[in-house]
Amino acid sequence: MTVKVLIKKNTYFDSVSLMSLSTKANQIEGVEQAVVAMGTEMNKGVLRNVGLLVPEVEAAGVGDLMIVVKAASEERCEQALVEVQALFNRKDKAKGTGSVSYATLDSAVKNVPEANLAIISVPGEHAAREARKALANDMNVMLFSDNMSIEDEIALKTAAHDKGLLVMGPDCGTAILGGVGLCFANAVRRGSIGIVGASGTGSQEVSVRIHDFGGGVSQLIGTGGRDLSERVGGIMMIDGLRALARDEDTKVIVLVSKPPAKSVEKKVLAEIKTCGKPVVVCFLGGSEAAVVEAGGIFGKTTKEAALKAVVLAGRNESEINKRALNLPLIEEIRAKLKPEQRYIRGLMCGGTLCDEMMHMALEKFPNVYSNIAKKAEHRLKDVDKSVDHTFIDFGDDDFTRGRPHPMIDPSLRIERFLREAADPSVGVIVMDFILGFGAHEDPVGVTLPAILQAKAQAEREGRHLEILGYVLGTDIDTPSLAEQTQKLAAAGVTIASSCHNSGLLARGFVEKKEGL
Amino acid sequence: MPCLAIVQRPPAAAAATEWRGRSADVRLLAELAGHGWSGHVHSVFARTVNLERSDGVLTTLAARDCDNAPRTVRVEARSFSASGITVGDAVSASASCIRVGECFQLSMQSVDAWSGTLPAFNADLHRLAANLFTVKSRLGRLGKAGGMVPDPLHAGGWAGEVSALLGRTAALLRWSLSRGDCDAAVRHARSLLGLGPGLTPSGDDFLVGLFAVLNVARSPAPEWRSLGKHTLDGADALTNAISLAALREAADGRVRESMVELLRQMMLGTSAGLAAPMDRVLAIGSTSGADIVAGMVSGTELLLERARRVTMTNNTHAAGTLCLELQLNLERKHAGDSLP
Repeated sequence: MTVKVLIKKNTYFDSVSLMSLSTKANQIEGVEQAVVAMGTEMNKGVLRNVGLLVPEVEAAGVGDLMIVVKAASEERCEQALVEVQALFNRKDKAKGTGSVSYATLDSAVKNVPEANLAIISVPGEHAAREARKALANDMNVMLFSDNMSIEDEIALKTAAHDKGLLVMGPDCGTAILGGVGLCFANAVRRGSIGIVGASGTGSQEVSVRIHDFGGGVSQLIGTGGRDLSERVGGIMMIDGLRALARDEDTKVIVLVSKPPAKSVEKKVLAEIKTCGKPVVVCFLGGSEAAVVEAGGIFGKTTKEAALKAVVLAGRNESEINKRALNLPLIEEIRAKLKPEQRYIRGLMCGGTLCDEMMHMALEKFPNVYSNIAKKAEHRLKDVDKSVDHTFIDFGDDDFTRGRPHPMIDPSLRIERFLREAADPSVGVIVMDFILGFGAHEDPVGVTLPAILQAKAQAEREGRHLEILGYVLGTDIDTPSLAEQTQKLAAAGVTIASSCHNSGLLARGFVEKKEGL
Repeated sequence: MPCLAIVQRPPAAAAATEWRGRSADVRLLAELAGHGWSGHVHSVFARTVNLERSDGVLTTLAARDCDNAPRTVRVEARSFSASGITVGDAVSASASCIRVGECFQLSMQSVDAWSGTLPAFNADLHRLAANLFTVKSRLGRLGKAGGMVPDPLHAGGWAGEVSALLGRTAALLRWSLSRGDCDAAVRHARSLLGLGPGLTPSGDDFLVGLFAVLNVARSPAPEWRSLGKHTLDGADALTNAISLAALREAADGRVRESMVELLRQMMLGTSAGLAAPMDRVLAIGSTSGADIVAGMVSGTELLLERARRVTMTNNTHAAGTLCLELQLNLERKHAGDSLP
């Protein structure tokens, strides 16, 4: 083993950057250990304890930044330090003036008068004011911010409707407009299918499935999760549907949402008849009869909705790989599980993915619980404690107040995963790994050490730990779907190709006798 | 349909930047009103800039979304990325403005004064214990691991060793304080200085939280207030200047606004009101927020334990007095009620 050191004299980076650099440095191939820390006596003392104290480290001062790398060979060490230095250079560049930023929306409008969309991501209490400014400047609005009052949401959407503009959100994380993916959107083929989604990861899932089935997306309009509530009344879903009806590039429309309020569902479905284009409706847990009666096409799940849309857009169904389940694998996993390993634990970053899997489990088991269940009898009493079949949405407010969404920072889920993996009653743990422009740059990589640790522990205890992974992404995402799934597979994780299949597989694994 | 217009523009030519101060620490304002000072830029981050006075004392310029804090001026702007300020620029500060280099000037004319007064210790020990329980549970659930909160994924190597050492030393510090061994407490507190990851090492952040709690008014253990000062005496070489500045202020009972609010809620509020201020503290830095809360939890546990002991002792005294009175009464009765 060789140890190499880089000392940056009197260099101050904020703690978040240091932690991020440390994580990335430890992920460089061939690096056994990398330490990025200030050169204090105590830190040097710990380096001594773990055999990393070399003379250059001893000379470091309290204001110096130490980067210590341990790798198998001198060459590896040198290479790693070059990569670490490159990471620092990137940080330095980011601190500089590589892009033009404007302190206020007014100055942005003044300097970029042709811009017609404002993405607003400020604390919720200030978001309405900024959105009003954008609307006053005739700009469409994407509100990534959450925690906005419903009164503000209604007022903004009504004002936008009157001006013929869109207000996507609040809490809207995904949109694709004019071929440009915004916030968490995935890289997908352009095509003729337009999506209006009241659920971010639901919309991502549909767009990715469309891509997988050979179709393409013309536009993806997000509305924010509350749009289909009784009070907001679906203002943006209706305006989005109308916008897609007018859009020449869109031939087929898909509507995606968690279950809407009944009166709003009726209002939205009433738009289908006059829209003049085929509309596939995927309101999870919704009624097929209502959709068919309104002239729409029912998509029970996100996968089914995407498949129907792709076929309606002209793709030959017989040429589509529908990703059939590997039934022998289900038998094989069942045989590996002990009788007491009976429960599914879904640890999800995507709220709609969590909801969809929960619905699929509910079709087979009554004892299903979640932090996002609408019905009180299925709601977890303590979100920290799983009960029987449990599905956790780590993107819900319980877990995101004051910290980033798990699609950006999955650390809470990793901790929970380790706890669930130690539970002998668990039959299968399901996890989603969501790719996208604004998502974590390596969601699988950051979880992999925990997966390996949990698997090793289970093996020591003489039980099989079944982990089911679903990577929501495409071959043209960065990182790519293939790269992420290969990593999972190499760690012994079973791969599902969609949220729908994840739900079917998970319940199949723990169902002892009955069929699927 | 809306579509994105991607417009590339050259960076604006360097020109004098004039910003306005929004709010500032009242003690800093008083100091500037008394006499100006000069120095240079110590360090520049996206949302803060540290100015170093010629005697080494740091003053911070912070973006508008940052907390108010000791020796800090919050400015109107959201970021310093386009301010043109660089490390080493000359600084001159007065009551009316702070000038940095040749092209940045901060007007202090209509700055609001901020004063972060720590709350008093809550004598309602049941409520305090309930609040403490809520904060501990939330810290366990939401606190970022890697510093005072152990990271189960990095149990070995440098990170694991640091985590173990932080936990052990903090426990020894608590134990020394609770048994009244001040010398040992100072020794263990010093062992935390500069220990751990981050610009402000985890051990420092823990101490900032601890010192703040030990400085509350009406503390059941007023003798612990001096722990910070004793720990930092001659400790300049143990951690970096930015961290040391926060520690010195905390030792004097002066901490950032979000910490004051969390402490106020812990002492005087209810469990329901803890989430928002706690989340604001947890959002500080990478693990800094969790490390600070860990220090606040330790400090509150120590004060609570001391207060309970005091209450028990008082109750024991009260019970003893009652027994004595009963005994006297019995003696009197035995004495046939004839005693005066």
